[in-house]
Amino acid sequence: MFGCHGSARTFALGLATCMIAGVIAWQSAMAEPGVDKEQILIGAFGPLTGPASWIGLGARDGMQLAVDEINANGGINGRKLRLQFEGAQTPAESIAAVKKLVEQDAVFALVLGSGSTGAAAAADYLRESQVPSYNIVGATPKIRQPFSKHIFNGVFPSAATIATSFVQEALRGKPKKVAIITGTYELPQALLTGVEPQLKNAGVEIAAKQSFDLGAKDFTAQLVEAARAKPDVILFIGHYTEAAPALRQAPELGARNARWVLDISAISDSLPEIAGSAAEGVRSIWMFPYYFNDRAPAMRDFEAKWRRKYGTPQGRPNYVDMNGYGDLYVMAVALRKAGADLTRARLIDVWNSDMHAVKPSDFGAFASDVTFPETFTPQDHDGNKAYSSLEIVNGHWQVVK
Amino acid sequence: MEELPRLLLGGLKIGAVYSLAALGIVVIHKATRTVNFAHGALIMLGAYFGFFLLRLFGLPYALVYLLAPVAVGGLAAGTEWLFLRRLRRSDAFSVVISTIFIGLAATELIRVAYRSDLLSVPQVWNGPPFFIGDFVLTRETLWIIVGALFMAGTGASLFAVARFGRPMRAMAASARGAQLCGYSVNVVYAQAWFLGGTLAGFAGLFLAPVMGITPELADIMIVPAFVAAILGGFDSIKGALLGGVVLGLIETLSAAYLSSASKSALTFLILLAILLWRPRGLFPESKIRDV
Repeated sequence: MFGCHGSARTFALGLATCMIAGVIAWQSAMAEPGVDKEQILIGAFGPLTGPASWIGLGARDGMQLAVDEINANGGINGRKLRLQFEGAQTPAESIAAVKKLVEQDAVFALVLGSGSTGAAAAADYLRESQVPSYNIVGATPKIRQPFSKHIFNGVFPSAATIATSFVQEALRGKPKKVAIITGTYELPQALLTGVEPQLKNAGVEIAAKQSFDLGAKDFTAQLVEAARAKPDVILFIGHYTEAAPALRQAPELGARNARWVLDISAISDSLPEIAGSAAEGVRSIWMFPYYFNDRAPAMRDFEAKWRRKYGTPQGRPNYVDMNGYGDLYVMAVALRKAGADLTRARLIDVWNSDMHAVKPSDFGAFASDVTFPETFTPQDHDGNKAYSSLEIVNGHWQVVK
Repeated sequence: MEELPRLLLGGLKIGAVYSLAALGIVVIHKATRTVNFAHGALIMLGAYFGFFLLRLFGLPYALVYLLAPVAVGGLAAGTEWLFLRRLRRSDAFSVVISTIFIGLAATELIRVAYRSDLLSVPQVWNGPPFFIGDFVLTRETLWIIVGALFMAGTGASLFAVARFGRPMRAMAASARGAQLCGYSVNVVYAQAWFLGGTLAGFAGLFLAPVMGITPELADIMIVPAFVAAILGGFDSIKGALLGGVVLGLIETLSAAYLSSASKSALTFLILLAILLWRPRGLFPESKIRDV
């Protein structure tokens, strides 16, 4: 009797436990942050004001263009995408923006449209929170090391990869002496860390090394010192807002006899306009298959779509617009592959195991392939390592075929 | 030392623009006792107005150099008349603080209204540079040095010598005395802001072709403009003119011979040292007698 009574009670207890566990599991499945029947909420942040606003504005506008296209073509597995972009200029603002997006707005996944400064600031929090995160512009090693299976990197490769490509471009023509003019902020310093040892390994003398602050506009001292070293190549590591006035000053200060190689963030149509004839023959590396105004159909389509939506402001679309557009599609492919029962864990699994040579048109023929295909493995989350060379010819950047 | 002439020329070029910028601050402060933290924004607006007139309206540079600075001057006078005049009734501190926010608002409005980040305008002078041995002197550099210093000199003369500056000089000497002489505070203040704004507009216009045009011009220029003004002696017209040139030379030479990485820090340390040595600046307008 007691045993019978005891077993009934045990059974009831077990049943109740199973029901509670089931309810909890069901609730947790339903409570996947940022996902409901109607939409998937993607959070993003980047600088919308200040000297680096071109990064955040480009990331926001490029991604929104892709989001609108995706939604106009049926969304992802029946859900619409919604992008919530927070402006964040400084490291402190970047951390605050990420925390707001994750804890208050409960986004499903994050896109870092912030450049290296914001990505480096948010890195530790993103590792702890384990929210799927896609760093599309930041080259900083701080977002890549230590490795996290939740953080992926898009078009913009690691500073080490950029540095290697940059050095390869600089070593064209076998120079003996180089001068380096570099910014004192996050990305240039990260690049410099990779560039210096590679130049030394190649037996190239670094004859001068000059620095400038973010937003600098007068480079007299740096250029005079660089010219004094009589280098074969001048490597300029900094934004185009700095590279343009530097190049413009260079001939007058005797610093244009050397070949100039600029880093990727110096690429902008505004640069040859401001630098004038001093910009002719300047080269750089480019993380995309095409430059603006290329006759390739994908590029023409992208530019036409961008201008229909945003008009024709000078200097736009910039490369971060392409970056945001292409990488949003890569994320969309991963989201679609993760299926209708979308969870963060499922997305991470798919992104680690089923993303080989993914390009925007894999999502739909309406998307423009303006980025190189990206591949991710469980051990390597840097999706893109390809690059092309650019040169300024007749006042315009062109991909060197 | 063969690079020294190039460094001096570079320092003089940026220093000439600093002089223009500093002079605007000093003119406004002398006549109105207002420290104008919106001056960086006025410089930026000079560059943007230049861009609008050149690119959107297709006007020639000669007209642009006439219209853009005057437009900035008008905007500055309008700001004083519409906003600061009312705030003056409370206290001077409110006026100074409000200039910070007026500057920020102007910068952000430009950013919102015109969101592209680096605009360009054509060169003022085309043609080959002048070669003096190994030394290269571009027409642009010559134009900026001569033009900026000429405009700064003209602005200084307007304030210090010309009939136009008499009410401002009177107000600078004694506000109560000037009022007793029949000068209207509101009119004279607007006049001072007009002159200061016009000088800022010229500074922006000289910088625009060389640096490109971004909203950040406001932040980039406000610090050196203040440093140059303080260096010269904050109430000294002559000091503002010389302070700008001295600052440009200090910046360039310290970056070349000490460290380019710590250019800003070195500049401020030198400024601090000068102020410790001569608290009233290098070129004070009036002498103090110790009694």
